[in-house]
Amino acid sequence: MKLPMSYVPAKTSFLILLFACSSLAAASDSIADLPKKAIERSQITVSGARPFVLKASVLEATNPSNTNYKAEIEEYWIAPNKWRRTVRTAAFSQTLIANGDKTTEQLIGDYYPNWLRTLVTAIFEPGDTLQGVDLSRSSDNPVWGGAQICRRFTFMAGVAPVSNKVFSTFCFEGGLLSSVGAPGYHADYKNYKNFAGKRVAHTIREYIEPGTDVEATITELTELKSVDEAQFVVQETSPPLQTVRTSEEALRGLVVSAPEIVWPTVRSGSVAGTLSLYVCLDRSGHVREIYELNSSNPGLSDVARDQVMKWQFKTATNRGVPVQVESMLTFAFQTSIANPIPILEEEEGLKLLVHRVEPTWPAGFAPVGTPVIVTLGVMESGECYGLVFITSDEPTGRSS
Amino acid sequence: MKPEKLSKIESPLQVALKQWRFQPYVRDGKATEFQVKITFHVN
Repeated sequence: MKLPMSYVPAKTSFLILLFACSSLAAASDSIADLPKKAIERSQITVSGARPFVLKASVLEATNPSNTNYKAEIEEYWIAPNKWRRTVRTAAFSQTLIANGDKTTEQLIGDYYPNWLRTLVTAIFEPGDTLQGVDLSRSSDNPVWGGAQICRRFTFMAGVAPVSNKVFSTFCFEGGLLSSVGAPGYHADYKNYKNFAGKRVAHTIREYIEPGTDVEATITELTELKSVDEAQFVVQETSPPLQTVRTSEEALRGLVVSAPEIVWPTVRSGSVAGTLSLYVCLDRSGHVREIYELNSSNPGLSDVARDQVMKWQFKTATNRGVPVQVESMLTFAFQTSIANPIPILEEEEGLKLLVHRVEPTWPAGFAPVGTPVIVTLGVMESGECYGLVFITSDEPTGRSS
Repeated sequence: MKPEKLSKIESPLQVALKQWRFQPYVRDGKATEFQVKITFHVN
């Protein structure tokens, strides 16, 4: 989008993607052209696109009754510089109107959560996450089977001397974007349907954490035949709420109170290593959301998350206006094993198994027969509390 | 978060595995928490 928008991290620019939707065919896209072509085919908010009205409902797919992830999204769009969008949850509501070079915003609530901004970006500006991505320079090419083409980028998080690998992965299928997984943004694009010469994903599934996925479903997407100009009137210009993605160093510079993380003993896994978190602050410097990133011992991520939730930061500003802030934080940990949990070999463990449910593998996840090795945690009662660790001895792919 | 490719299957695995039930693992006369490694093959 051309205008400043609340959900767009500062690192992304507001260039309009001036692509012509020349063809929906995808067979011969080069890897370098794939992101550009995929967005040409699917993004409905580019210059020259047809005016539309879009409505979407959001809920937690893994627990539909959870009101924390219920939301409604509605947009009336005429052009990149003329639109009206409302997003609404129980705790937050924003109506943002852009008209020419003016914007106005009606805001209820103090924080626009990352999980909701991710879905809004995925619906209206999926191309934002692909800006500057050169697939030909990927770290490796995960082979997930099916017809998906995936490229993964590995980069380092942290402030010296602490560093940790984190990943961004982009997948395409049939010439369309199928998923983006990056720090602070995890979206699967599904259920593509035709609209005004485009192919538009009508289901966006967002990974929050193990066992928690949120899903946005487009319930209406129709061409806007008649325009009610009253909807787009900007009576009083106001800058929209902004979210800025910053470096870890800059985030640490905003710290007011950050007690040293206390690492408890662990009962299994690595006793020394690193872990990273993706931290989201409101405009008062309070931590509002934290997402786990890569960890040498996933069992310690919750420990770190619980303690960082209590950290306090200064209010960050952009041109004097308070902004929401997002960044990664990386920690080195050192602890010890205490009261180790017995780890049974498969044969011994399966002798105790009395009820088994087979997992449903995502379509095209990996070639048939690919081994996936999990470590499963079992309580004294025999009930499972879930995955402790997943690995696979499948080759990670070839370098590009 | 695990490496990206594996994070994609965490949710479906969690859904299935949380329904698994074992007999209690008894050590030193007491039911004991344990972990077990299981190998699946994608089908």
